[in-house]
Amino acid sequence: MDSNAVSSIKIITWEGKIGIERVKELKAELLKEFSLVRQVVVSLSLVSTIDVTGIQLLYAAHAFSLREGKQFHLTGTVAPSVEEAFVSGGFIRGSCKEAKDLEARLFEASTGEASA
Amino acid sequence: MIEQFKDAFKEEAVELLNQLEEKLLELEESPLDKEIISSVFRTMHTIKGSSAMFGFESISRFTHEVESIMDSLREGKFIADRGLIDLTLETRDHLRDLLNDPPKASPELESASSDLIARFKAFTDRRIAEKRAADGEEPEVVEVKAAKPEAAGTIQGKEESKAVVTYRIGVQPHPTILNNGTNPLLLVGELAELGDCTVTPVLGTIPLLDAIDPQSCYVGWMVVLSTTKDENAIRDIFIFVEGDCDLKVERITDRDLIGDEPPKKIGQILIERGITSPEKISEALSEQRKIGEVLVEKNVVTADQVKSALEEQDHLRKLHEKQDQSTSIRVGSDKLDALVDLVGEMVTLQARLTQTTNAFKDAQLSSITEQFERLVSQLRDNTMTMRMLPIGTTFSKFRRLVRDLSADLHKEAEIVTEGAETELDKTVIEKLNDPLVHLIRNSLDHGIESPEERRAAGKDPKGTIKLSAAHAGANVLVTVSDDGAGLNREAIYRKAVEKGLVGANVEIADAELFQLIFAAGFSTAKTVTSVSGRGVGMDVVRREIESLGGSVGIETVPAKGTKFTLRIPLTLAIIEGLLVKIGDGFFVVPLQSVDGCIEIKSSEASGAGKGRAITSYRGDLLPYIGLREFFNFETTPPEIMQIVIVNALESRIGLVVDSVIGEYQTVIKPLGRMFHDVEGLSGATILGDGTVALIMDVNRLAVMKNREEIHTRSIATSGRG
Repeated sequence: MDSNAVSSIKIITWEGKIGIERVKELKAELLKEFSLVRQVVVSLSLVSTIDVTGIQLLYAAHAFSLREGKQFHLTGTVAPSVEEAFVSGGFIRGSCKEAKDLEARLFEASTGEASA
Repeated sequence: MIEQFKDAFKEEAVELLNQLEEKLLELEESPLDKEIISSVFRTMHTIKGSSAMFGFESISRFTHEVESIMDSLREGKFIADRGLIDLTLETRDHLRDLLNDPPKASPELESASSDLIARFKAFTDRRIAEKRAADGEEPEVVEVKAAKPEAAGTIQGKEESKAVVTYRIGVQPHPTILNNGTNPLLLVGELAELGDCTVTPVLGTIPLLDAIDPQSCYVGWMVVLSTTKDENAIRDIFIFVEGDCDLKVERITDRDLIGDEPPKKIGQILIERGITSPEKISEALSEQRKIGEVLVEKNVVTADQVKSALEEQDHLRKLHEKQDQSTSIRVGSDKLDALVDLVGEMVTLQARLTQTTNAFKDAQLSSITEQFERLVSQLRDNTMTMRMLPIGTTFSKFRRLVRDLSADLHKEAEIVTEGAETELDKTVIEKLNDPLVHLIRNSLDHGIESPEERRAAGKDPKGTIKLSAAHAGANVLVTVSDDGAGLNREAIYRKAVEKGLVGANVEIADAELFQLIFAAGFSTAKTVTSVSGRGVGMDVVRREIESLGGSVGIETVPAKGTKFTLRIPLTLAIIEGLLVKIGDGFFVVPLQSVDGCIEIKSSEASGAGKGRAITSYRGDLLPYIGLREFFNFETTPPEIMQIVIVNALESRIGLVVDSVIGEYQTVIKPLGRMFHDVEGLSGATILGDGTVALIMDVNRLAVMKNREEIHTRSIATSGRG
């Protein structure tokens, strides 16, 4: 039996340095998986560093999943060096060790509480 | 109370002695470095002073004598050589013994102190005399003093008198900025080094996945920076990307910030006057629409602009609230451990609350639970961060080990460390010590050749052992490598056959063969030395690393050297898992190993527990293990089952389970003694409803299956022969 036919979720494990050299290939992989399954999950557990191109790709994939009626999630643990990239770029505030929390904070609505 | 101070003194003294050891080893490398000599002297002086204060007379007397000798060294009366370093290291060890003794040392230790001082004095007198004899020929002492960079975000010294000014900085890199290797995150990070900084990315222009050019930069930043530096310092950061980036720097008028109380909000005043209660105000506020939402809805501003304005408001508020705070406090590790335990319990309880809330389907309760979940998650992350220590605290010990051991073995070797700042959970670091000692001893004894052999092979007579650490996602990779002779494949194979681990004439891959050196009692050494050769040690390495949930990899090149890579989880306390069900039992598969899930009919999966069955997964063959059979579940399986595909030991295998429930954050509890012998499980956890779930050790499951396969192959081969 080829089990691909019934697979509906794909966990893509990003590994090592996520930067400008690899984002083309990662974009292609994400697009391919979105065409095959209803839910794509990117595991960040093995990522050692990430730059702005990698972060942009996550935002782009999230927005794409909303338009296509699919699901896009992050999973795994966030390495300190990766966390640092998100924090120093202001994408998240404070410590975040889990990709699930990272996802919630990255993609949350941008209108917060104003003491106007 | 005084006992508490004494404990604190001891703790601090141990840290100082560790620093002293490090400095002495540095001094051996650079004997003329005045900065290091002064630092050694200062350490002795500090120990002397504080030991006297807390009544440790023997330590105070002893360090007084050593301090005088160090003073002579500082004055250049003689030069630090290996003999002096040996004696001072001995002194350092002796001080540790004295610390473990009561304030008035035992007669044996007192006598050891006198003996050490006498030897020290004789040694230095001799060196001073030699130096005098050769006076004028000694090289001039060179002062090496590195200018210390100003700490990021701190305002010190002259800067103290300067006023803090807040700037609003808009950074919009051009799309092509990345082509010339510029990293905008680093530029923004440099701004943070100028002072208190709030960074907000502007994301509005990022296209969707199908339209994005992934190598272009779409993100911009709004930064609010409070600094004593002037505008030029800000612009200087962007000086090399002027043509590739739009930069706007504005000074924010913040005259009302410092010293003034912010005006009270209307709700606050109404509560203070007793007109209404805090609950009523909260209720009213929850119904009130946020101005940002309204403006975004009316298309007056974008969501990014609102976010950025909010961040600016927050930044200014924090600046206002900022008060002098002490930078750090010392907390006992037992208190931290207790805190982690409590947080662990809280995470479990929170999971239970979430589960209960879901059953109620009450919007208000759900909202509170979500907020609570977020808070618990932040609390957990912060607590875990507190337990993180740089691995360098362990690395520094090994310099001494290599120094002393290479002398014992009549070899020349140095240790090079990399990534000492890599942080790991304190408990993991503690458990890492023994495996690293074994690996380094093994490298020195078996890996690094004698200076004569190295010369003959055209190598530097001095061998190098490299100890490095780096983060790789949820793991830390610690490597111990040497530039020695490499593993002897033939000798290992012969030994493996002799020990019956591999059948004669059985072909075995290098990776599988080299893993056998971790078997208990396995040693290819012809002679047993005090260092190694008994076959104890490498099995300890694997056992300890596996007990940490990690794995050990080996790479070796004949005549070039060997590299051991330890992959260790960052923390032992909490993991992300995939919750699955088999029969009426719940199991957790560590999420970092999971590649995906596919379905399989139970009729196809049955019988897979006793051997490995095969299916196809994305064009590849996927061997899988039926966990129903493996764990002896005898109930009827569901018609459709799930295969969880996991990466284990450089390969991919499937684990057949009844159903996949979903992602689950797991607080790891150790299995009781009764379950120590159960293979394939690494711990347990308590689910939201109080049920116990067992955590699978996927590497162990794969090892057990591989072992079975090697055994089957051996039987098959011997049967044919």
